[in-house]
Amino acid sequence: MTPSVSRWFRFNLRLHRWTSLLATLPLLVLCLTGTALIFREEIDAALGVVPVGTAEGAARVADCLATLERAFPDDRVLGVGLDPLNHPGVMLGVVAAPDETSFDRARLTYFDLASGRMIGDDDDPSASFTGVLFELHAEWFLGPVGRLVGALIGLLVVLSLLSGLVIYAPYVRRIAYGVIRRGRGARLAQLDLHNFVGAVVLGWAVVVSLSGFLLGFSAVALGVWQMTDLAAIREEYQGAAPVDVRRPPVTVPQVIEVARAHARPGWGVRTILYPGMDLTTPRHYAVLLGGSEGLEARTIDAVMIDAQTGELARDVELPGYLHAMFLAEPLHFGDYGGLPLKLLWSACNLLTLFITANGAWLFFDRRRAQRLRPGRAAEEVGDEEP
Amino acid sequence: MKSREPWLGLLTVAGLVAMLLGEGLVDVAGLAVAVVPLAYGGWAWRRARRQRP
Repeated sequence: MTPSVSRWFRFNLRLHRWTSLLATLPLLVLCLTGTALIFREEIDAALGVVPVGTAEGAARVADCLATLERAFPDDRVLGVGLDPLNHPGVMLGVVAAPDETSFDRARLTYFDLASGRMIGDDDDPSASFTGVLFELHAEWFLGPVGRLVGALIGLLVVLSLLSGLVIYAPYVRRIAYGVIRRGRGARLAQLDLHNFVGAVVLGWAVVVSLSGFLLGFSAVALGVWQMTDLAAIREEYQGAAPVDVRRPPVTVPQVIEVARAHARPGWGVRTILYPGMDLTTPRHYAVLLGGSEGLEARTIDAVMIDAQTGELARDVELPGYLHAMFLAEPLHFGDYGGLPLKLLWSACNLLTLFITANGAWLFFDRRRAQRLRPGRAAEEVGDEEP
Repeated sequence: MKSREPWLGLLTVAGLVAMLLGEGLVDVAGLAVAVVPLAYGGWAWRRARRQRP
């Protein structure tokens, strides 16, 4: 080993050790909660969190909204969601107190689109089993600040993985890939397992930790968009008279019709946000449109529709950083390839859980060995060799 | 390939991104490419176990 290579190696060895150690406990929690969250849709369906629609008959959005307004006469509707890919035949209605402008204290209600009946009502969405897991996984129960903590953990894991890639070769040069040296001490067997399993899951782990790092900035990104692009749009329409946000003159079915007429072929309405929200203007509905296949199912077009006249006010060009957030989500949760991909995600998650725990064991076992034999060189590659 | 096995992870990255971008056959091909490191690892591990004295 030349001195410069040695310095590079030692730098990465230390980086791998300390970034991994700092990330160990959070990563154990993330792997455990993440494994359950891979099957969030299935768990929610089994627990009846998101009811199942009949998926027959014509969509009766107007009837669903009439039912919603009858059920919660003192509240305002914040938004309507349609997800034909994952929840066909179901409409989501989001309501909150009249002065609310965000989803923070919202109530979720579910409707059977074919009959207009209310089939579910959740006044605290974060209290469901997967809701609690998600809040722990994404926010550490700290709100938006917790997302930044998640981003920091993601960064530590990325650094740990990349430094692990650098230090891998010298450790395995004497053994064939897949060999676990048993019978020569627990430490050597665990080290071989760590290197072997780490090599197997490295690509997946890089994808998930990088996308997790990006998602940690989702609240920041949305805030930046609100302060820049949305602020400019609001300023442009400053002179326009606001509408009654509880009963806008143009109804949601009309909005859907206008938005569909302007949507790309194969695209449909996914979300409608009412006027007077943090993400809209006092005069306009915001409508999010989505495709149904491949990448289009993961990207979003946005339009604003005048709630007074029913005209399309503008196409909203979303910035690249928001599109990056939209794409990071499926790459983090592995929910875009059906059951086979979920199984791959679970397997890799559990393997990552294993190397996280076994890496911590290797660290503390090494410290213990050093205490017993203080003269031993601390950073030798051959440290782990018999 | 000796000591370069972690680089197979690039196949996982490529496969997962391909699955995100495509549908149908691309999905299947992407998944097949994405699992190469796992499959190769499983194969190497079995081979090593068989060769163990």
